[in-house]
Amino acid sequence: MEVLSKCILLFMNVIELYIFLSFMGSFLEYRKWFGERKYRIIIVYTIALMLNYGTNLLENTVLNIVSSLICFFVITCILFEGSNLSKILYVIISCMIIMMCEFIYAVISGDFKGDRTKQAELMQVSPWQLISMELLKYIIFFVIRQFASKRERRLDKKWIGIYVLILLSNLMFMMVIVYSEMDFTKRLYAQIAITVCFGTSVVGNIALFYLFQRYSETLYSEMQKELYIQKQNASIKHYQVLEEANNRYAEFRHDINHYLLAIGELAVSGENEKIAGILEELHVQMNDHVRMIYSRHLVINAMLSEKVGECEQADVKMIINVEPLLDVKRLSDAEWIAVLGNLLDNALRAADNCEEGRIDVNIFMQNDNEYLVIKIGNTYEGQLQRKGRQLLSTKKGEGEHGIGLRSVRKIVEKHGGMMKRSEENQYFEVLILIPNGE
Amino acid sequence: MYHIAICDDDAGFRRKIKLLFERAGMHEREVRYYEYASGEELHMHLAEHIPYDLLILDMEMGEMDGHAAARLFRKAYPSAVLVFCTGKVAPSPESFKFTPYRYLMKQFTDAKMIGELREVMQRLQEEREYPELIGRKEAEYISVSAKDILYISNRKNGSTLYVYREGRTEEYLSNKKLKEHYEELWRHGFEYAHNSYIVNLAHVKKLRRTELVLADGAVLSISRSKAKKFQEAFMDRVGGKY
Repeated sequence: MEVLSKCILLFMNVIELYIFLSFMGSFLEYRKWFGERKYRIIIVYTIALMLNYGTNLLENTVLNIVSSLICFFVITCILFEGSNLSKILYVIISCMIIMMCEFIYAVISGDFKGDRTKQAELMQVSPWQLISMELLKYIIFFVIRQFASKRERRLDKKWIGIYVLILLSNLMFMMVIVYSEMDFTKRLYAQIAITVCFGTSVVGNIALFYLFQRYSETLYSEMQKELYIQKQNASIKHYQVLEEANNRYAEFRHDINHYLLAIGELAVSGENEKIAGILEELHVQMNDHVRMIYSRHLVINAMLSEKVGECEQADVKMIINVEPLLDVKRLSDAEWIAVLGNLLDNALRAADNCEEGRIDVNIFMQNDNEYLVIKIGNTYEGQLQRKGRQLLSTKKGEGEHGIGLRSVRKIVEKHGGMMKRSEENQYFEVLILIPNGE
Repeated sequence: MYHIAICDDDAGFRRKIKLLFERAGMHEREVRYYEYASGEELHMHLAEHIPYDLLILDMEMGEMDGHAAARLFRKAYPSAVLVFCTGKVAPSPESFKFTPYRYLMKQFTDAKMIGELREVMQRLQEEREYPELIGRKEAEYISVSAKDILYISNRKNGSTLYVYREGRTEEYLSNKKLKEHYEELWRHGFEYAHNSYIVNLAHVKKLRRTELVLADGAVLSISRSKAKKFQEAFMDRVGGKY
């Protein structure tokens, strides 16, 4: 029993500290260093838990209260940003809530034994009661947090109501089970209470299910909106590029008279080579006009046109080869944006550092239209940064390393495709194969 | 000698293609051109059994369009190289049924067109180099192009060739061992999927970690020890077109 009591005490400490931290997290911001990596928070949490638990084992009431207060304050100072005054205030509030919960529980359960910090007494209480008490604490903290917090992460009132309904019905279940001593036949009040619990629990679960459904619908529509905005932006950029090309073409048409006159004069003097040169130049200019349409896929055209513009600005040569008949069944517009955007951004960043930067884009179908192949290569200078087998981004900014390639890989794997990176002679290439069948 | 057919209603473009082939390095002594101004004219000459290696076909012609002409050509010449030529960027997905090797856009610059034609020439050369294997069915011996083989499996005293032509798979026996076939065919895109068979990567429709699906719908398992090498070979082959 001694071991069981210690386990119960540990369990209570774990829950209490968790509730405390989530409560503080609703009002204060985690320090950046801890926010970046969750395991850092877990380490601090574990240390504080052990200290608190160790003090509790000493079974000294005053020491317990003082050490809990100090422990909560220290952990708040370590983990969270904010002024000391606000930290002290929140710590005192949370400790008061914890004590108040225990008092309320003792009153409603008719088992008021005074100070819960007397561990000897506490350990006489059954585990059922302790779990119920922790649940009550959680409910009260949750409700206070929802109404007091000014944060955007606050839940909708409908959600809070449903959630609290379920929590309360669970609490009532526990209490009825404990105090009826598992015998509902002899006590009328227990029968009524358990029926009410069942009722609220069923209603709560049905409502929760409904809300989840609504939530996933909202998420989906948000995603669609986001995608629509992205597509609109891509289209606008694409049309801007097309408009620029049209303007250039208009200029070209305006100048064609001069070219024809020059050709006429050269023909009279028999300078065929010069005529051929002028004709070749005219041909190139005409092709400039149509080169923005690489396929019948608007998003691909838009993405490539945008990158061509960026490459021109960065003085990087971009060679694009998209088979005109690109029969794309699998990738959605959002996925095309993610794949081409990430790969071309990476390629441009690397090629931009080269004296003669070049990017090759090949998109085509293979094996009788069964596979879509995306092959993007670029020149680079220096050494590629790695961490194990993973390539690190050269992008400035923390926390962004390799995310681009990882998200591309996820999309490829989602469609049962394959992805391969290779580098040779300062040339980096990503090859993607995606099955095109249903 | 290569036999190249150019089917386009624009005589200027036919002339241009011949000129660009020459600039791409095709010597006039090693090629014979056959010019057709319409799909109907091409169709009329299909009965003459000219050994065409390549057809350059305009997608937009008069009454018989590129698709109809391609269908007739493919029926008569299932293994010749087919290159579509178009001024538009949106031919219909039906075009894939005729397994074209390339799509040439009429508005390509001469330099780009020459680059494309060089690769077409390389493909013609590869086609020539594709080995012919001798297969036996009952008492009959026939020559089979490695290109048409789906896979080759091991058998006692030799191997079995699974040949896929005109939508049907036929089995032929070969006296050569699997290992000997592999030594000859690996550079043409054959790879071990299992100790007991090698697969033509060009006919793989789907590739999963432990199995693959071939063009005729046959499903073969991939052994654990061969999986990595097979996948790498597949990626190199399929991604190596450009």
